[in-house]
Amino acid sequence: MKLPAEGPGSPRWFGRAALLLALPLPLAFATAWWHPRRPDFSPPPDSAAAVADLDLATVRARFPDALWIDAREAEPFAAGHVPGALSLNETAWEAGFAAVVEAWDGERAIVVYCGGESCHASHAVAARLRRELGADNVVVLRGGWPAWLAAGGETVR
Amino acid sequence: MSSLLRIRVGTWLVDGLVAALFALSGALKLGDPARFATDIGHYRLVSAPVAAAMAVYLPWLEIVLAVALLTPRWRCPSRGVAAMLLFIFSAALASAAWRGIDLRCGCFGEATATGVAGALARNAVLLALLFAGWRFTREPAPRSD
Repeated sequence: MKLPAEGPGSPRWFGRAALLLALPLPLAFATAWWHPRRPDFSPPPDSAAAVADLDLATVRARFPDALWIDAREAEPFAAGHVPGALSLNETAWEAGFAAVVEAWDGERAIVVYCGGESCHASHAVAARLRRELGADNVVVLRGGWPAWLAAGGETVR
Repeated sequence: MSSLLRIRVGTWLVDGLVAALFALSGALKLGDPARFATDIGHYRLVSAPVAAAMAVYLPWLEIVLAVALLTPRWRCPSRGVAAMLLFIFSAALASAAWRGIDLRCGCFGEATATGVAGALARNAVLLALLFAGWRFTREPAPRSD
């Protein structure tokens, strides 16, 4: 079967497609090097998987004086959260992080929760807190906000 | 308006729309690559360094494709690459949904405010537009009579 000189599947087509895929590479390198909001390429020392998931009973027993962090977005946080919890999520990290730095005394355990079992935000926030705050005792509430409600936990708006 | 002119205008409109969406998507991601890397990480498909590399590469690829879609010589291969990209994005979305990852839990910000179903529908529309563009510009079959 003879391939068309220009059409899809032709050698020239593949050559141009490969060039299209290669063209962004120098721009990507420049972005990785110079962009003020460039991502971190190093593997995190404390990966999200390394943050312990604890159930509510364990959290209450082991960390009665914990600092609670709500990793959900602002809207669900405003609708109801754990008493004393601070809002900290990756959408508005800078604003939330300043409040956490102010509230954390360097000793208290930090418990992070998000919207449910399948929500990854709590692990991401917990891992980032470990890196940026230098806190060792950071755990995630297993089951998140629904687990808190199911246990009859008090909520505030 | 002659049929040839209609086809050309239709092609420009379709490719222009897809190019505009790709350019907008790339520019928005390029504004905050760190945030986009976090978003990619939430799919739990690649390691953090790979997510970071994708976060600086994919926005530029989208912008390059947007420009190529408006350039006659590059239009055809750029449609192919764009379609491949959309397939990969859709597969990643479907995979995350299949594994029960909550894409609305503050993990993705504005980028996927539509949720998985909305994002998959948007990708399907874009694929249909790319296919329509390809059909518009395809060489007519030689007449048999």
